Amino acid sequence: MRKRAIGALLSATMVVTLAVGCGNGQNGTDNSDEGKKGEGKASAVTMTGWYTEDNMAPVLEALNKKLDGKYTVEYTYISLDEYNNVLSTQLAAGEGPDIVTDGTGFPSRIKAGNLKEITGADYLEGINDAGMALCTSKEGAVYGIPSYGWFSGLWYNKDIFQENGITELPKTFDELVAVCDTLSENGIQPLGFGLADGDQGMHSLMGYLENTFYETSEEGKKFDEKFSYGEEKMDGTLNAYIEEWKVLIDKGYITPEMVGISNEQALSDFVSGKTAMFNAGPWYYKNIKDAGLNAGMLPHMGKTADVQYLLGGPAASFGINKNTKNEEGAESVMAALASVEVQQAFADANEGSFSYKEGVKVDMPEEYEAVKPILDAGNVACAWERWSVNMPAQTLVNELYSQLQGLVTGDLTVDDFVQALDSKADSIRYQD
Amino acid sequence: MNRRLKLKSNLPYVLMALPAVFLFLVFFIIPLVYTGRYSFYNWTNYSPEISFNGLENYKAILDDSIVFTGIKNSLIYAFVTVLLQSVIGLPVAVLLNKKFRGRNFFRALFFCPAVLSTLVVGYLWKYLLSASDYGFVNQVLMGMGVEKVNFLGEGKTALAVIILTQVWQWFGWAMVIYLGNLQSISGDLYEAASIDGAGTLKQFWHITLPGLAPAIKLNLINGTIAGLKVFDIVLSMTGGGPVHKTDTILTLMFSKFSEGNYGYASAFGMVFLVVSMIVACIMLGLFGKWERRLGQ
Repeated sequence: MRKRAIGALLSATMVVTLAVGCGNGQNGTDNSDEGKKGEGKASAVTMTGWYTEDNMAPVLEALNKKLDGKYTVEYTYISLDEYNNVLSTQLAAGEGPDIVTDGTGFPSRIKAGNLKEITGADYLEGINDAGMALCTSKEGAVYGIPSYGWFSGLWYNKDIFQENGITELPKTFDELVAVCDTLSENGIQPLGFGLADGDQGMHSLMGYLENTFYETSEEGKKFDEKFSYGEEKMDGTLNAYIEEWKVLIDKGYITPEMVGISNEQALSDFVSGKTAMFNAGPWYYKNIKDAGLNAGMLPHMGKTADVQYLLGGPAASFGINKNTKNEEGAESVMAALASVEVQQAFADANEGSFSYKEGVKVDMPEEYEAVKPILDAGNVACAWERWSVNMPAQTLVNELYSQLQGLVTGDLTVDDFVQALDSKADSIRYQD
Repeated sequence: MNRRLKLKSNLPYVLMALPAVFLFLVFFIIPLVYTGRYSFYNWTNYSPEISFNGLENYKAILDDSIVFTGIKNSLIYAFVTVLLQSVIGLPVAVLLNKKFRGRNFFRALFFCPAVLSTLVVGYLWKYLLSASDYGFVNQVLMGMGVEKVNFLGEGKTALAVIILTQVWQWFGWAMVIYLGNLQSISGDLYEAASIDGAGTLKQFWHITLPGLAPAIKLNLINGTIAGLKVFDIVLSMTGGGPVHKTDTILTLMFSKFSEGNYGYASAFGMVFLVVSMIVACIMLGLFGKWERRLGQ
């Protein structure tokens, strides 16, 4: 009998403990008052992101300094793999951080009604239109501010170029192919792409399209907006351009073996001098620099060298959670995020990046000598950011990764490739 | 015993089972009910309103050819993996059930990979099988004069190597279950069979195999259900590529969740549940028949 009583007591305790544990959740947005209650303690404003705490440390320092003790920013790191799921679940539940951070998914947050409109806010002054692209709705309402800008080009090994007598840097796509021919004839693998992860192949293709179609033709300039609203299709428009780019596959410079190689392995091949060129952005600058490689960056290339474009756009944008319980604090943090000091901290913490904010000074390392004039001219654009006005662009980007693998392995023709992307786009538009 | 007394005597057991029932309810039954409910809703990341859309999500699944690739790959993966694990695990267990020096070392050695995280195993094999100059397996092949193989870059080889890595990792697990069952088979049966003149093969066929029926059932049913749920090894080795050729039901479901298409992903979850239940029912039926035949 005594044993039964103890058993019953233990079971009851476990049930109560579980119930208490489950019921002890805290609303992520409901922490503002707590801080205010603490005497002399600044109110906390929550913020999440995929940048590690170490990466964010100088930015947070500048941010908290700008807030001058009135508010403090509590930053939580969430790995990029999980970021979208975690943030979406929080926002769908009416919770989440006070400041919402997102990349190409920012327009979908606007579309979902997760963000507070900030049109006309004083702190928007001095941020250029390119930076506001992801933060502005089709109707012109503003919901956020950008951080720094990213770009991608083609890293090249200066020593390999020199050893193989390539003294003139290529300025057009045909010249790039000629450089590949020379390197290949000398037994060097010209391009090193990791297509298992996809984005290098995509950057190469989209860089070509940006320079031959999107930014250099009247049709191209209008195409993506129409495409994102289902008024245009890739099939019938992009086929010929992709066929031209495909010469890199046909000549064996982008190979089926690359489909089984990750970005990191391709980077290893590049920094160890096994390949001469590697498509990426400043996010690999440190790896390349630390390896002691004598490298530089070339822009993406098109048919002519008259106008050149880099792929790129705002790396992350910030907005105010519509359900924040700390609106005043969130507004103050947004103003601080948009300040020259904090924007400068973003640019300094991401070497090789550029800023959308007037007054921010960016020192470009010598590796970016060839792309600096293009950055200075503001020739940075990116198709998937244009798609994001009416679709979750990352979904189409992921499909592009997959279909590009098929193009490289020869399983798909260019027609199959564009038709697969059209079909995916048709299934994910916010509104038809 | 009257009803009240019976209830009183059972109360402590009911109370002790309550936490488990509570957890099962919270982490399985309620999510399942919600998943079923949301599978009929148009719930996405980017729509402010969640609206009922009937069978639209299920229709979209039927219209998506990649879904069938995912189901086909999951079934191939589950059946081939579980079969190979048993085909290798069973004879190894029979061998390691005999007394010889170092058998404990081999038991531990074969079981070791099962202790590792599947993600770690995936990234490790991805590196070993890479078509880059760092790929160890290709380096060995090239050293032997064989041409480089694009293991992870081609659909057929990619699925095959994913299966092989999982057979490598988990056959030791199957072996341990067989070994446990083998040790419960009485030695007297073998002794009697030996006196009656039965050879090793006959002993295996008439004593070992029927005696292993519970372990075989456990391994095959558990292995198949786990196989249908394959996710992390695919994610770490190929991410579903090339061109969706190694996608499975769960990698596709994960990508739909990642895309913020929760309604569609929920419908996918229900489809997965139905596929798993059908496979499990068929297997249970077949094993029931086999066990009844053994009992006759």
